[in-house]
Amino acid sequence: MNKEEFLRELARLLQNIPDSERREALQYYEDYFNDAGPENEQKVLEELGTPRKVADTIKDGLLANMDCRETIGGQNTTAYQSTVGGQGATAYQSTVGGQGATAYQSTVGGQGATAYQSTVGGQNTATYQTPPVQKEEGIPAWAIVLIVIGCIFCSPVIIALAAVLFGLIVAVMAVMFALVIGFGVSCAATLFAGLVVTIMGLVHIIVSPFSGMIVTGAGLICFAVGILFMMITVFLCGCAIPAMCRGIAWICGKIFKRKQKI
Amino acid sequence: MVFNTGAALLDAIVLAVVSKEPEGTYGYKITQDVRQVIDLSESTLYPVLRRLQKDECMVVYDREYAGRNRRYYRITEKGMAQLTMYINEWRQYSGKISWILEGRSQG
Repeated sequence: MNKEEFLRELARLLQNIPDSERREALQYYEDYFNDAGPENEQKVLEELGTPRKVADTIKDGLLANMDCRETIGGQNTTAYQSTVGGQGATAYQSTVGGQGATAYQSTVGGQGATAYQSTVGGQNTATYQTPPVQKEEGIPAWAIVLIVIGCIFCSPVIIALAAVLFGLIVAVMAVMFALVIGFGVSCAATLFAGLVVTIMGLVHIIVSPFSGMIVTGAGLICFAVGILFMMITVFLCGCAIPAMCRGIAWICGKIFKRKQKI
Repeated sequence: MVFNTGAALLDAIVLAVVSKEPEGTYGYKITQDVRQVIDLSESTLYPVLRRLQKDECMVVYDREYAGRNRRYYRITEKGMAQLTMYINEWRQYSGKISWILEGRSQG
């Protein structure tokens, strides 16, 4: 590989970085070759390593710059390590205390193995091929404005719907209470009536056994109906009302969630 | 060399090298100068220069040399301030290290 091939390959590998950065880097390395002179061309090529390694170093530098800009003012840790294989290995590494960590590492093996790694904030691992573009999260501003306008225009409908829903909930509750009270009162009345009629019947048996027995039977049936009403009342209080409350709570929760989304 | 050269120290060295040339100096020469004191891969310097340039510690300009444009790096006021800070920090740091390692105090 000669200088031209090296620069061409480097230009190709730098296609995914901004134009200005690519021109700057290419100018630098072209200058570098020119200043080293043709007699040193091979030596420089050897020392630089593969175009890929040089491209990676450039991209790592770009990434590190971005990271620095993102964590300006905050504490950041910059660990910098580079190992050049071969005969003697040189490693330099530095840590500037703090929290957000930026580590960039390049290792050049004897045969041109290149490893690079970049970690921002300890969480996301970014490689140069996907520079960390800050994406706006959530709904864009114009959508929020549209939704708000929509809500204003729909407000009569929304209010009417809310009123209907509220009315329904109140109605269901009222019906439930009416049922409970109704069954409760009927239960008490029938139990009382049954008791009275049974006692009357029993007393009547002495005077006229047949009609007395009929009255006693009627009283007992009445008592049984009272017990039935009592069971219904207990069921309403124990199961139906809690279930209804849960249902209302669920509906309210749904509405609340939807409002939160908006 | 068993000691690591951190990013900050590398910045300081590069700024010091560039500040030695009031007219500015160029990439190849900076690399050679830095390599006189620390072992450095040739490709390591470009990102450092680029960062210092973005941080406005250095400015670049092209000057004609041997029939082509050569890119020169020159230190700025901000770069000088940064270098002064590094020099002070280094004096303290190296003083402390020397004191603990060799048992002598340095002013």
